[in-house]
Amino acid sequence: MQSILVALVVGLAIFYLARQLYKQLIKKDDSCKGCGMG
Amino acid sequence: MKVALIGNPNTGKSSVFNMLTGLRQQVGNFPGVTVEKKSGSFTHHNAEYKLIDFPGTYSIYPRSNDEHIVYDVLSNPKNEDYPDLIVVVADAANLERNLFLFTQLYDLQIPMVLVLNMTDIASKKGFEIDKGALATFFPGVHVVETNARVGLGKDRLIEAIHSTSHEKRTTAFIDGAHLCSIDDFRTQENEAEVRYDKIKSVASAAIKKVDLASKKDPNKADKIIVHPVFGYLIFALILLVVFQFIFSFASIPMDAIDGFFAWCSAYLQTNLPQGVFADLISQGIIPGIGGVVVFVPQIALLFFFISLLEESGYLARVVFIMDRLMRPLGLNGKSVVPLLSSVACAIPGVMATRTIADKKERLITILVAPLMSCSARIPVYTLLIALVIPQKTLFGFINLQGLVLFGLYTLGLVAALLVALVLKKILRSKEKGFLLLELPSYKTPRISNVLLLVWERVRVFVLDAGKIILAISIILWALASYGPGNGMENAAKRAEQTAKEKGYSISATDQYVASARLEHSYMGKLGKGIEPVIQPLGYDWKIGIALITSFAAREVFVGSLATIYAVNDDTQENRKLIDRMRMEKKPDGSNTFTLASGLSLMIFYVFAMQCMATLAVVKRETSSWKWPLIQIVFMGILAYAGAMIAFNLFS
Repeated sequence: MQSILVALVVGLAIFYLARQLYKQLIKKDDSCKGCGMG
Repeated sequence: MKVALIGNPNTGKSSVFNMLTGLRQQVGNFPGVTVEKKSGSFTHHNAEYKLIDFPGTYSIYPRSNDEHIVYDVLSNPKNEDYPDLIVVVADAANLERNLFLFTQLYDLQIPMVLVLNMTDIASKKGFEIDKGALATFFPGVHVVETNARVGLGKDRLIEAIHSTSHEKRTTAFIDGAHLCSIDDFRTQENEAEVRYDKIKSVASAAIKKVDLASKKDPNKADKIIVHPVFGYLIFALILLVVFQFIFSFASIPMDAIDGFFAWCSAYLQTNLPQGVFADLISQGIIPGIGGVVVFVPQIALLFFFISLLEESGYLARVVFIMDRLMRPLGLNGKSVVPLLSSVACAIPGVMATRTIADKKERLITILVAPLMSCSARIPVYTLLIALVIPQKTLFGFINLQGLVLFGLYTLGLVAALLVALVLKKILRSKEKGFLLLELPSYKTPRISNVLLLVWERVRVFVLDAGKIILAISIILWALASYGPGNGMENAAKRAEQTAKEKGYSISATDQYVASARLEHSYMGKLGKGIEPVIQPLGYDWKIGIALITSFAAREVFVGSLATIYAVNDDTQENRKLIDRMRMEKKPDGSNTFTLASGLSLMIFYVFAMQCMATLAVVKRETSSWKWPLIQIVFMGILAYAGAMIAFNLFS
C-alpha cells in the first residue's frame, strides 16, 4: 500500500515538473515559475 | 464602456487605477505583444466601466515597444481596446509638460477627463491651478483634482467619468491635427512646435506659482543624495545597512522555522508506521517544504526595504546616479532599471529592457541582467555564509556575514558592468542612447503599499517556487532511495559489517550505512558521474547533484541538499540542515564544507546561469536560441573559473 502511494506522489511530481518545463520552454509562458519573484 | 487610463510616467497612474478598481483587477498582455496590460472595472449608477491602464508615455508617438501600444490602440478604432473615453492622469506639479500628451489626445476628439493628480505635492511646490481657465481652453473636458495615494477625489472622478461618457465633443486644440504615421517625423516636428507654443499660453493663464521664498523645497536633499561622490557613498551605505538588517533580524525566525521542520521530520519518522511512504514524508516532503518556508523572513525583509526605498522616491535617484556610472561602460541609461529589477528577479528585469529603443544596447542589457544577484540566490548565499563565515563583528558594528553578502551582490554588479564593457567592444553600437528620467518628489512611504508588495512577493515565492522545489525534492528522494539491482542492499550489508568491525556507536553505524546506501542509489550514480568535473572546485558528488537539480532554479540547491542530507542521516535525530552540512565529511575524514569550498560555491552561484525560466524569457525577447545559449556558455565559464580560483585561493 505504502509503495503504491509513493509511486503516485512521485508520478505526480514528475508530471508537474514536465508540465512546467513544457509551459516555460515550449509554450513560452509569461509567468515566471522559476524563482517565483516575477 | 471602455475607459483608457493614459499619462506620462510617474504621474500616479497606477494609484488612480487602484483607487478606481480596488481589487477588481486582472493582469494580462495586450493582444499580439508582450506588453503587460492591467485592466479592472467599477460600476456607477448601474453602468459598468472597464478600465485599461496603458504604459506611461510622454507622447502619442512611440519611442519604445511599451509606448507603441498607445499609438497602436488609438490609431485603430477597430482595436478591441479602443476606448470610449480617455482619462488622462497628469502630475499637477508638472502640468505644463504633461499638457503635451494631453493635447495630443484631446485632438483625437474622444471624450476625456483630465485628472490633476498629486495635488498635495503641487501645492507644496507652490503651484496653483486654475481649473476654470483650463476649462475655457479645453471645452467638454472635466478637470478633476485627486490625490490618489490617499484616495482623495475618487467620487468626483467617478462622477466626472460617468457624466463625460455621454458627451460628444468636436473641438480641437490644434485645428486640423490628426494622428500621422509613426515615421512621418517632419509632420510630428512641425505639429510639436505649434503645440508647445499654444501650451505656453495655456500654462501662463492656468498655472500660477506662489512665491516659494516662504516654502521649503521638498527636493532639497537631492543636492547630497544625487551628488557625484556622496550619492554613491549613501547608496553603498544604504545597501550595507539593508544587508546587515537582513542578517541580524531574519536569523531568529529562520532558526525557529528550521527547528520546527526538523522536529516535524523526526516526529513523523518516529511515529508514522514504518515504510517507504513514511520515509517519503519525513525525508522528502517535510525537508522540501521546510527548505522553502525557511527563507520567507529574508525575502520579506529584502522586499520590505526595496519597497520602502521605491515608495519614498529614493530608487529613482539611484537610477539617476547609476546612469553616470553606466554610460562609459556602453550601457544605456535605461539599462539601470532592468538591472535594478534583476536584483529581485532577472525575468521582470529582462522584460523591462523593452523600454530601450537601441537594439544592441537592449541585447547587452539582456545578456548581463542575470549576473545581478536575484532573490533566488538569497537562500543559497545565506545558507553558505552561515555555514562557513564566522559570526564576527568588525570595528564593533559591522557584521562579517552581512558584509560577505554585500560583497556577493557587489561582485554580481561589477561582473555585469565588466561583461557589458566587453560586449560593447564585440557588438558595437552605432546609436547613442539617452536617459529621460523624472525624479519624483520624496514621499513618506505608505506602509499598506509596502506590506502589500511584501505579501505578494512572499505568496508568489511560497506558492509558485515552492511547488517546483517540492516536486524536485520528491523526485530527488526517490532517486536517493532506490538504486539499480541489489547494489544498495549489498552496500548496506558491507557497511554494517565494517561498522561492527570498527566498533562504531549505533548512531554512527546508522549514518555510515545510510551513506553507503545513498552512494549506490540512482542519485549516487549520477553524482559520481559528474564528480570528476566538479572536484577541482572543491565539491563532492552530493553537492554535484544539488548543482544539477538547481539548474531549474537556483534556490532548489538548498531544498536538494536538505533532501540529500536527510536521506543520508538515518539517526532519527532532529538535526537542522546546517548542522548536517557541518557534520558532512569527505572520504579522508576532512570537512566537506570549508571556507574554500563554501566561497567557491558562492562564487559559482554569483555567475552561473542556473535559471530555466530566465533562459526561456531571453529566448522569447531575442526571438532566437542563439543568445540564451551564448549566455549560458559565458556565464558557465565565468562560474567555473571563478569558483576554481576561489577554491584554490582559500584552500
